Amino acid sequence: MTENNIKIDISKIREILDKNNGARIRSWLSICSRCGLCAEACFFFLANDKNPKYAPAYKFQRTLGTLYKKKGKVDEAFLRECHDIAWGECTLCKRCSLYCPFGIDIAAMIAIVRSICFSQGLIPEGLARTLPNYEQFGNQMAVTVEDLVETCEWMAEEARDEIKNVTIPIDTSGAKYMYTINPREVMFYPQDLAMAAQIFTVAEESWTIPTTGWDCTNLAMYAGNKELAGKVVDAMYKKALELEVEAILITECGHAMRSAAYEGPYLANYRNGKPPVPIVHSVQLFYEYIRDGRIKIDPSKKIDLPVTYQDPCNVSRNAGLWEQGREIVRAICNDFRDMSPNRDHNHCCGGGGGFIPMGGPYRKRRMRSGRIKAEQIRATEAKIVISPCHNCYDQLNDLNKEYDLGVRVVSLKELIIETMVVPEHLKPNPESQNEEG
Amino acid sequence: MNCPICNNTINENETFCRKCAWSILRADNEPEQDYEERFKIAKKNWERLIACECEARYRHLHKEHKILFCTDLYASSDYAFKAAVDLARECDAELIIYHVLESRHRYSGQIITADGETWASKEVFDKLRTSLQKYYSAKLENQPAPKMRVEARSGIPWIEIVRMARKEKVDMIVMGPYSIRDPKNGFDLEKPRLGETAKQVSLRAPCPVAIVTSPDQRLSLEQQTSAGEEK
Repeated sequence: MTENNIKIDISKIREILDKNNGARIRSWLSICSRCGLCAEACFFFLANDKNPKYAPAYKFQRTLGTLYKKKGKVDEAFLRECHDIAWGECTLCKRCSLYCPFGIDIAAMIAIVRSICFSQGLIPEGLARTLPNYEQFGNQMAVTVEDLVETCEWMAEEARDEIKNVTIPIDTSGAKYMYTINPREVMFYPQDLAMAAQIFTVAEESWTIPTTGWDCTNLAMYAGNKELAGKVVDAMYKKALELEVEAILITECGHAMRSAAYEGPYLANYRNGKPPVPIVHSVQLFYEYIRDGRIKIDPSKKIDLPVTYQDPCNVSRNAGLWEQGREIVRAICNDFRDMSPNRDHNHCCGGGGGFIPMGGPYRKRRMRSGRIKAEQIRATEAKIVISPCHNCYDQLNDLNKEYDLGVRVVSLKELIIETMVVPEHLKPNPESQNEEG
Repeated sequence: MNCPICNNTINENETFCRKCAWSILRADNEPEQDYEERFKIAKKNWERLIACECEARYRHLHKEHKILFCTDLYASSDYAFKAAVDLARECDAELIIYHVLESRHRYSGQIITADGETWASKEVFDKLRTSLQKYYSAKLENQPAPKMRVEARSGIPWIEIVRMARKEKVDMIVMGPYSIRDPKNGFDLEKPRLGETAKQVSLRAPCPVAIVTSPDQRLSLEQQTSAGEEK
């Protein structure tokens, strides 16, 4: 599936339009009074000289509005414009909906436009390339089970240098949490697994990594392939039911939470809109660890450098975990400086909605619209930016270079590891290690 | 005080570390008895070392050796290649020639190749394997060549190198000290250094790592050291 050869199938467009032609979409399309409050809410609009073409109201009226008006009878040039708007000018961050007096969910409508573009074979290559991987390997980066298990063993070995008896349990039935991860952790950042294992060991958690349904990301959702997106999330639910875990734990990833907890049940046809197994995000769990004293922070190790917290849209605004994130940061840092605006009103980093995996072709735009986030960070004068989202992490690292911010970008895990108290009985004993080899 | 080698606590009335036996040499004022005791500890430690699990793993593998040579696609790693070939010949090992195409973003499948940024497709890997095979086979023409295999992957180089070494259970990794990221800013032989990949691999590898520098670099290292001493 590439962007180069497309054949427009109007009946498919009509099918998607008809399926979504309920009271919700109809009233949203007709009720929007073009008041422009959404425009100022959108970082694309702000970063692009307040060009009205970047106003969310324009974006959905121009695409979905026109599609309904023309009853799907559109040409290729128009669809390419839709493609450009749906992926290149919107990260589905939902900030505009907070400012809309009618509460119109513009992101939901752009998501429909993405589905329509997908049905015509028109999606960014970076996302298209992940789809066969989901089909064949069950994760977006074509990681084999063998690689996953071997990486877990490797990281458990490394983690034992820091903390005694660290193991990474695989496929353990009856564990409390099924820890689902981003394949990026296995491929590019295995230390993240080692850090998670250390935290869980210190907190004496019962957890396991599954060998199927372990990828909590869902780029099929962002690619507009709802059928595959449903399969991806259902594989995770099924595995959790099979292992009889109490909850699915999501790693520090934003859109994984949106997929698993909120959109997933609908994508996988759970009609009550609830996941069959409770979904817990790492931010919530780490907050509980610190609140309940299962992880103790060493006051002498608390971070003195100025720190700011990047609210990932899908963790803070869309999953309501903004205070939990801040509580953790306050517990581990002495000088916390909030960005402005913050919490549920925080701007998207500019890498969400599939923007980062869309890769090089979209890099320039990503850097340009990320200016808002870069300025927010610069204004705090922070030296460390914490973000509990892999996607923000990558975008912030890129922004750091592009705008010369001079900050260190970290995940929550990294700082928790740096500051937590390792109980005496878990400190590695070099003598016995020598003997074990 | 704590032992400077292993951080073990040393009691005030003792002259050496009872855990790692500290120095190899005997100090001038060291009593005969202490030195002998130290010697005993060192011997016991060595027995422990060769009996350890990893050694046992390698003993079982001694039938077939594997040398992992990591190339950075620049002629500067030829010195490391020569060392790897010599080693492989010497111990009749299989030589794995390995290159990792670096991922531009830690998220997407895009990689950097000689032709610029592209997607990691089968064609890219096939092309790379073919050219590596050609380049290194040509070097071994008319010479007894060890058994060779060319492998390529994409990702973060040090992660993929350690992963490969673990997976193949190689006996040794041979690689150059650093590579260049930007071909426009080539090697600065005046400034010898150890790159991130070499650093991480040597710290985390499951086997010994040989880092082979070019004679030019060694020379500049000497110059730098002596310049540093003059100051």
